Amino acid sequence: MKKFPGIKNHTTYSFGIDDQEFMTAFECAEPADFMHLMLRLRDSEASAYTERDTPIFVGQHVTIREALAALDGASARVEL
Amino acid sequence: MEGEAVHDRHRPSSSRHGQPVRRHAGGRCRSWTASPSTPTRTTRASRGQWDASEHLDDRPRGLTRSSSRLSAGIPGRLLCSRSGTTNSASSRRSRRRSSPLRGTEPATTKTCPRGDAGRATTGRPCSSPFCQPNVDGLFLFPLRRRDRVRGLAVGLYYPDGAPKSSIAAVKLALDESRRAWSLIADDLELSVQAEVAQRGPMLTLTCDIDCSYVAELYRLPGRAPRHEAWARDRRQADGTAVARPETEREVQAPTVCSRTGESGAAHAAARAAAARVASRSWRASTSRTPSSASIRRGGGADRGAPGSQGCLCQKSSRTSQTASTTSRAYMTTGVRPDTDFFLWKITDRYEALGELGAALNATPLAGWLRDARTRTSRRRMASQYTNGAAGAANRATGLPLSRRVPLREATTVVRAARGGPPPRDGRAHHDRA
Repeated sequence: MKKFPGIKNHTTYSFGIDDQEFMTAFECAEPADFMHLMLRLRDSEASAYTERDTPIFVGQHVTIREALAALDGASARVEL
Repeated sequence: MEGEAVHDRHRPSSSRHGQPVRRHAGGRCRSWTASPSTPTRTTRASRGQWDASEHLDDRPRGLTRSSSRLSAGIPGRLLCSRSGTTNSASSRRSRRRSSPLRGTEPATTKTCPRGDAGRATTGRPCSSPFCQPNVDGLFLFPLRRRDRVRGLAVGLYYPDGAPKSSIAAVKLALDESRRAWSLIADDLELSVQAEVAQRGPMLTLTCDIDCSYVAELYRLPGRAPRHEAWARDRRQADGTAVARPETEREVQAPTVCSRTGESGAAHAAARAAAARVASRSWRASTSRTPSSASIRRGGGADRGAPGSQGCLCQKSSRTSQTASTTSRAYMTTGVRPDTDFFLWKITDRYEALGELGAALNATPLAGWLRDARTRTSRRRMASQYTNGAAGAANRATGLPLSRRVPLREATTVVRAARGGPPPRDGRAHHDRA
């Protein structure tokens, strides 16, 4: 992670309280940086022991108002 | 069914669902449908689209040509009969519309009662295809130039800017959702955004969330009269103990008045009110929850919680924080088709997770959500997967996990629904099969 200072990692653990072993949450300003990080992590030793790394949710940090506006389409009018 | 049948060359060679296909007699063709080679399940979204296609009655030539091309290219084309319309005018229209069509239309095996069909004709026009097992799908006609077809529109407005008749219901649903969200989820409340407009001596206060408006006018010593107005949620106003938000007291009157810089009493008052509205203290009454900018750090002392100073994406306006809780909203619209947004709840209280779920269920929005996924996890001092001393020391030694590490984080993932209440607005994006 030191090679990717633009990415902040939050690793938390779920054994015993959820279906997965652990969860990773990343914050970054540029999704391309995160892609490069994932590419590097594919070669790590721990990656070989990862059975499933899905689902992956990529979301844009917004206010709840913006999220609701996007949900009901109020923020945009669809143009054909 | 009686009436004129609308036919084409479609003669299905097989039955649907193992049922024999009988002739579907009668009805009027209003919706342009076709039977694709691969059966497609008709969704309510399609029905929503076809609600708009009501206006295809007056479709211009461009659409007619498109339909002709489509019909020529798809052997299995079938014009859907919109049953139950028996008036003569409709028959004439149907006859005119069916003139380029030939063939016979197979009958249904699931007849619509006349009464239901009649209601369907007026209220839910696209329900009729479900009564026709020989209809496998609806073909929509996306147009590059929507303005060429007046009335065919997606959204709340027609191309000419005129609002659809359903706009009132849509606005009501949205207002209810936002208001309830503002009420129940303390750390995700929507602050009321108010605007003050002045026309002569009249001051008009409007808010984007359904609120109760309170306005006061009083004169400060030696200064111009000052209007005060604030908005708060209706439910708070309906209660017996409606207190003035504490944040209201934080704005000093001289500060407000100095921003006006006007000598005219009325004008200064209006500007003062506007400045008051623009201040951050204009929040719903639910914002009285004690808040703090600091986040209690968890086990990993070197890791700042999301939203803390170390977070790259930290923006105070996007992160709702209290002393023990942080909630963040993320939008996935357009990124993942199965989700629309998710919430990240970070808390020391396990009960807070249930409270968030209850808050979601209490909102009108909950009726439009389905398959809420939750991913719960907690922070540890160090990873047990690491080979470092900290990780090795943190491996289980017999103590209950809850005694070793406090609960730190949990994530709630909410998936927008397919299902739930029927769409009241007929918008296309309400895909509710």
